[in-house]
Amino acid sequence: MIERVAQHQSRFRTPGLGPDSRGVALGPSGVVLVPSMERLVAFLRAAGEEGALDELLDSLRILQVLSALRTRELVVEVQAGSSHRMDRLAAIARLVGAMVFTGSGRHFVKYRDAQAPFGYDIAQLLDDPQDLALYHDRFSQPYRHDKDIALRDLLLRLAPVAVPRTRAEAPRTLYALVRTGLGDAVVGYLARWAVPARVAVVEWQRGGTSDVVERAWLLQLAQPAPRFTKLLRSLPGVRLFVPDGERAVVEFGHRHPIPLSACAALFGAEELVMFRAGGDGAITLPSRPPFVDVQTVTSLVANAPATVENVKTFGASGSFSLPLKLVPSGSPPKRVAAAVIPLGDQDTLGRMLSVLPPAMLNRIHVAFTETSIYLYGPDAASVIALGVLYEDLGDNVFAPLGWSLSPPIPSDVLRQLSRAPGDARLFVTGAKVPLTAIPTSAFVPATRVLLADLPVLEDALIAPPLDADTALPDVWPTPPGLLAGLMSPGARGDVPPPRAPLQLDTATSTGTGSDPSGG
Amino acid sequence: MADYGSFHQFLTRFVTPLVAGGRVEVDGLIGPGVLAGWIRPVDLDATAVAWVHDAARLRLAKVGPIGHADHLPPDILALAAVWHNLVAMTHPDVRGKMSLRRKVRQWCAAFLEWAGVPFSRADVSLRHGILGRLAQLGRVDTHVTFWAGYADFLGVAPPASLVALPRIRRVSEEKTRVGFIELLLGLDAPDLDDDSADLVGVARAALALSPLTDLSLADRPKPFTFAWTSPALNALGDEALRGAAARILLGRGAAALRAVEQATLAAVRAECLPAAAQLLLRFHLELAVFEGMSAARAAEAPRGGQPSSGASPLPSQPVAWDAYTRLGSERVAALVGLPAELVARALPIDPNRATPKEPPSAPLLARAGALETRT
Repeated sequence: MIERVAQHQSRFRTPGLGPDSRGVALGPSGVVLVPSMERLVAFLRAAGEEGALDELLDSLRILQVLSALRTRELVVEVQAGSSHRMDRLAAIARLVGAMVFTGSGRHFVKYRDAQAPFGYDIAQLLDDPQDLALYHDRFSQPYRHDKDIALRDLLLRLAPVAVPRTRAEAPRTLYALVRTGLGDAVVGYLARWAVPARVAVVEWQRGGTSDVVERAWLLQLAQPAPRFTKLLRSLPGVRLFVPDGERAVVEFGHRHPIPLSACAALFGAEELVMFRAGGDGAITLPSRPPFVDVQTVTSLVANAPATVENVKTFGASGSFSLPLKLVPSGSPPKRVAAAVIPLGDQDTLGRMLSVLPPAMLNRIHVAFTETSIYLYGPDAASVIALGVLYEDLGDNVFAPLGWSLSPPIPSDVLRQLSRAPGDARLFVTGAKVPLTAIPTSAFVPATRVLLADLPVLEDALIAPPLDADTALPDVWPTPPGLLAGLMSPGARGDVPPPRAPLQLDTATSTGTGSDPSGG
Repeated sequence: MADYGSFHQFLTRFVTPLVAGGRVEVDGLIGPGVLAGWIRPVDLDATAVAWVHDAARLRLAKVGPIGHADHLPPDILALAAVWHNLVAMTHPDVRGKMSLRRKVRQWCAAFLEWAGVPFSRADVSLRHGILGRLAQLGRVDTHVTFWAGYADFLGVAPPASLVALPRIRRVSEEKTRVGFIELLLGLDAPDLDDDSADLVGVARAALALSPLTDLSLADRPKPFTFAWTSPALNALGDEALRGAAARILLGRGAAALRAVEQATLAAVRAECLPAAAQLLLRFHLELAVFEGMSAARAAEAPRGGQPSSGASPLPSQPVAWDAYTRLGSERVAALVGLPAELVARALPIDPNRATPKEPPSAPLLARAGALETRT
């Protein structure tokens, strides 16, 4: 029925068959014969995982064919392209138990395998090929075309399958389909927690025989914290979806049988397809929902009280004249930023400052008054175990650590009421005059006041001594032996005649030589 | 033992480290017979000689423009051989060997006689260039104690095996550097009656043949006390050498200045020639003016102490200061060849000073024929 193609064979009986650059017999089209729908899904899934599906989408057709025995089989027809592509397709097809053919028009012959590296050719064409004739080494069979199956419809009909929980945690983007009655509550909750979420209202037809249009809120959460994911997942009436590709989302904890990221071309650019689990079918939104931030929605839909009109307002002309006091505070301490130290502890403070690390000392500023030393250091004042530590209330207002204001007025109001200069630091001391204002300019770095005037001794320089830069000559003696008088070099021999006076060009003979003894 | 008498061996093992610092090897003795080979050396290494020249030139550059050093005459090597033998005889092992001392004295005398006095400025400067670091020469003695006892090593380093594993064997080393004068004191033998074995006189004579080196060691103790010799006075006659001598002495400090003044008074008491006395007077006045100028510069510096009007500005040179006050600044200025105003500013004379009953400069001025004047 079919015969092996020999190397360098150029004439074939199969219409459209020809050798490619490697000598493999290849037709313009390739056909995969799949026995059942499950095998077809498995084939598409394997092709999508392997990355070959997006290459095939533009030329892929799925046909349902009828054999002479009235059995239904499925044929996937693709453009052959090259033997490399066909090899990948054949490998995937063999994996799912499908058969691969190549050819053109109505006649397709078995694609090459290990027994025929250059492929096969038809020995004799069938007399009645009908719509499609497949030639295999075990059969040659004509098929009749039954119907086309659109891949998009196939995808929409397939239900997502559950995946192990560990693979579905912490999605980068999460969609939540919330029933209308729950929308306000969920959106308000997310707005209160300042979750980066956006919301839109979506509508879709239930489909089938029903004309009911369903309505829900669709939330889009960017990198939601696990606790939000867990909470939303536990709410009845809320369905969570995670993106799979650009244009499709699949219910959280499930996966579409066919990788949707490889099938993006099947969906419109503005389309959003939501695959629900549990056999509820997919929701196709023709256009991407106009998401808005949940904060804006909260303020718009909040049940604000009705505006009260015709209310007269008066200026704050009166005062309760309560005294400003310090009361023990039960709230956790804030950041210690200052300390007030009695002037009598000046020496102790100086000694403590002198042993501080230089980096910490650089951050401390001090101001002296007649009674106290005000020490300011946002990160360093806490290490001074002297006087009273003050915490920063904000706006350069400081209160003793462990005490709070009574009445508990904010720091900016306190500063406003005190009428202190804007650059002053306000210390709430709780004394008879409860506030003390120290100008910021009065604070000087502690490093400046640690030392008094330093006496400087300017030592006089002298010339370096001679040979200061040269190594010392050290005697390395070997004492003369007993026979040194006889055996030493030069012990014997005559002394040469006396030398002549040395005269150099630059040297002049000295003149006034005389002997002190008169000689 | 290598042929230590050869020119190259002696140059590289003794002369070069003496000039440039390092390990000065003193190996036995050297006899005067080597001079015949040193006059025309067959193993002259120009690189080694140039190294010595460079070090000597640097040394001379520090004491003034007194000449250059571009060759190495054998008389300097003869003087160096004398010092080699004298340093060898400072070893305690040979201190009492009389025959060896006599032989060394005989050989050193032959070396000194052959070297002779310096004839010219070049001779004086070259000899000081080579021998000027004698004052820094020393011997590092090592006292090693270890778990089983102790050992002393004079000059040489202890063997590595002795100081190995210092913590386990409880080894401790104590190093002491014996200075040049202390080494020379080892030549003195107080119980020695035989003059033919005396090496102190040899050392003094060897010092005298290099006048600037002699002056640089002016503050040495007895029995090597400094005294003026004819080569030293001859060198003072040269203006450049006199300036170098002044710089050397001022660099050595007050002790050297006092020692030189005592030597001058001793020479005057020994009735030296009037010309020599005049030369010494001029030298001391120059020293006084130079020191006064240095003191004046220090006084002009900010925060410096003001010179007291009553005390002598030159406590280290009482003779020179007395002579200056007696001669007056103008006369001294004419004598030393400097502007009178400069001299008067460098050495201001207090008119209310007390006149000493026994002026220390009187013998010198009288011998030099200078009239005493009161200012």
